[in-house]
Amino acid sequence: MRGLQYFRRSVRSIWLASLVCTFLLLAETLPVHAQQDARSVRAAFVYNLTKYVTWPQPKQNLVIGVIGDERTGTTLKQMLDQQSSGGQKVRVLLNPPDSELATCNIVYISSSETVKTGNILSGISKMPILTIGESDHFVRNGGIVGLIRSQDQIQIEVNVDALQLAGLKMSSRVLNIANVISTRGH
Amino acid sequence: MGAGFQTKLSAHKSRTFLCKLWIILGSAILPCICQAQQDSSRNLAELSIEDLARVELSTASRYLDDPRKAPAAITVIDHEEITRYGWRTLAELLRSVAGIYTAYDRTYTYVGVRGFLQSGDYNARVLLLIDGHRINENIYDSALIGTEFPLDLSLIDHVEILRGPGSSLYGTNAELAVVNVFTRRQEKAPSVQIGSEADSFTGREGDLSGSVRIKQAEIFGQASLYRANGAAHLYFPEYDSPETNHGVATNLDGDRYDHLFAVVRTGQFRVEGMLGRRDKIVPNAAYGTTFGDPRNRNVDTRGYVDASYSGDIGSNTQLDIRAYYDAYRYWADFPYSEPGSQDTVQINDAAADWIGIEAVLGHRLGRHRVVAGTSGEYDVRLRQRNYYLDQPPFFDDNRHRVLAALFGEAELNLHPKFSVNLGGRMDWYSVFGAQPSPRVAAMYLPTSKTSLKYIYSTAFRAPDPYDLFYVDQIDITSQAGKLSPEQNRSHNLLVDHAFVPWFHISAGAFQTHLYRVIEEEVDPETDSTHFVNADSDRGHGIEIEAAAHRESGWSGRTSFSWSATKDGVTHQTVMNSPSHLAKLNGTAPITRYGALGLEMLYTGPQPNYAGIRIGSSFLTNATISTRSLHDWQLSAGCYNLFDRTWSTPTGPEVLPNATVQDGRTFRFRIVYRRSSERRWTGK
Repeated sequence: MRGLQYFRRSVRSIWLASLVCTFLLLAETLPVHAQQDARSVRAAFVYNLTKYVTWPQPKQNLVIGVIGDERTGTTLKQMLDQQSSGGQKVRVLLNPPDSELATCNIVYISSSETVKTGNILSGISKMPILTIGESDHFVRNGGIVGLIRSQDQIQIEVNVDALQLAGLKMSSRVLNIANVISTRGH
Repeated sequence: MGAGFQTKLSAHKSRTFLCKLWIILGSAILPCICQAQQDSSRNLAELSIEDLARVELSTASRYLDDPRKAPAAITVIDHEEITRYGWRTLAELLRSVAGIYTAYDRTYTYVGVRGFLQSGDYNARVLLLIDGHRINENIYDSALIGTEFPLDLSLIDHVEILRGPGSSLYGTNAELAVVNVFTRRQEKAPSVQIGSEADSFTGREGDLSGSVRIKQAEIFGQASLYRANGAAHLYFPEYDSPETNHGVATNLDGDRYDHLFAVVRTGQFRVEGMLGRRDKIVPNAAYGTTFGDPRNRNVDTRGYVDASYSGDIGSNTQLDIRAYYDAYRYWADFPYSEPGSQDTVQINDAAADWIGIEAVLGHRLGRHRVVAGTSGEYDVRLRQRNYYLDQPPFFDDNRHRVLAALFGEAELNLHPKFSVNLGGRMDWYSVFGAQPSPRVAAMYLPTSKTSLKYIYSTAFRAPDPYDLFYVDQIDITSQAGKLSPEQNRSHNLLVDHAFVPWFHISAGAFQTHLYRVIEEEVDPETDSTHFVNADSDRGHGIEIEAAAHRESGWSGRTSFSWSATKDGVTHQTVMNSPSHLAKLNGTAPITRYGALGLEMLYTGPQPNYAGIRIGSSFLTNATISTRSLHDWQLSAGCYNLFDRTWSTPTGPEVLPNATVQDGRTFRFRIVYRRSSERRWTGK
């Protein structure tokens, strides 16, 4: 009798294990419920912006030049390089020389480059280049888009005058969630 | 002999059961087909720009970074569920979680975790936080979770419930669980919201909240109040005599609270303040007071102001700093009457004020994460007074206390599939000295869908001023500082697997060893009591939880937990410890405008503090709620749908062995919300 009981228990255990295995084999992907690091979120914003900004003369590649902190550049490269955005292939250049900035569609300036920011912006502000920065004063200093850390979220700021000066168009979908800033008259 | 045989039999059953569990847990890792490490960054890039604006960033802090690597069993409940299930208190939310149950004695609500709920400790073994700010007060260490919880549930964004010890990061009280309540981040556009509800027992609630934006500052405030007459007649058979109205307490269940909450955010700074006051009539003549006397009441007031900064220092380092002021006030009237003598009213009042500062630094070293922090707290006042009305105090104790702590955690991602989490905290109290709380966790993540964790952790509950110094003239004497911290050593084995993106199952086995348990001891000579460090309690058990969530509105969460807890000396089941808990929560869409939320909770039989068996309970609640329709939202809930009689155990302070809970009750809620969300016209 005892042997029979053990046999039944074993069968039941195997059945339970098999059931679990079957479910596990059906598995596909993981739901992500995590707090994210600011660098990745900013990179995702940049990717979104490539879809909602229109350049006057679209090219085959959409080039993003990243200036400053190496890890920011690496994150952008890992997440966006070779991705497709609206039929264009995204290419990420890390710390391109000043002479190559004019070939970029987007110039991303990390917060470690606060000293050089003014010089960079003055050089490219009238070109059709979307400038994106991280520092609090980036858009007030002539940058177009600021991705500002506000405690536990990234807040987007847009300088519409700088946007107009660069000859770019931005979807109202971005402007609706952004803090829109005008520096005209300052 | 019989007992020995029973013990062996139950041990054999437990072993058999655990064998099965191990087979299940073991089998979870077998079919793990190698797959690239989860790349949440890629998932981020797929989010819409609106969703990205809502993504919460990891802070330096101790909040969850990646829940898969969190060294604890975790359940996260969001505000959507609070609306769909119509939870009225934090206690109702908590009891839907695996391994958690509650008891209400018509004054306070108590929470039990994994088979441990000690009557009279006011939830001192559970740490309650709002936005990272400790809510347990500093006299009784109580975590207020019923109507005494000082925050409206409508303000909650989500609640993280970490089952298991958490003292290695949080210090005292995080002995059995940490409940982290996060308030909702308001819209950037100015808004106003008015809410009102009507409950059974003439309960009525009103709340008004609004947010504005002034330059870079987001300002939000809310005020609310609640009044309920409670059950008009409550019958207590223990008091059934002609002198005590035949055991009927008439209009003695009144409950009222007032809440204020405000937060100002600007850039990386935030200032948050809260004030809550709850006034409850005690209908069951606790502590031998006069039955039927409406003067018998408890008033708790809790408030704080917390200023914090959270920002980046360089590209890999984050810093969180907070400074705070906290206050707690307690007031209770205890009317006593003796035949042939004049009635007296004993007043217990307590007041605590404390200030503190905390700094947490988070740093990423390649793929590893390190957190280090320090905190200091000074109790400006810890005052307890007892006196008879219109008489000088017979007990008046005022103290200061200093607490300092250093803590740290290292998440070492040694391999894409293997992480080790080492954490520890050293607390120093001016009252009893130093207390270390180490923790070690090993995590195996064989695929992006599966995690397997082993956690060894320790935790403590510091003796509070009530345990240490309280005296009254009825039954408690002081041992004046002769207590050591109660401690917990715990082993946890957890497995979590997502079968499909919308469905996952988690299972866990745990072993808990509480020692130097702080409990009341009766002096046989004087018949008075005092708090002592008793021997130890042990417990072990399992939890299984499955959760599904579909975008269409269908969602569900079900859990089963089994635990066996024993007193280390008597080997009897510890007080208030049900072996079995089963829960089912589900929501279903009703057209595209609303949803039905159904909750079914089973709690097995449990012994009360005296070992008397309190029967099982099966509770069903149902709520219908609408989505926001032209700025209006409505909900209607029915609680204890089948009007079943159910009770929860009580402590020795009241005569009944258990408190009979409410029968079928209802709640209707209406909310009007107006937001001037700006629409960009392109001009």
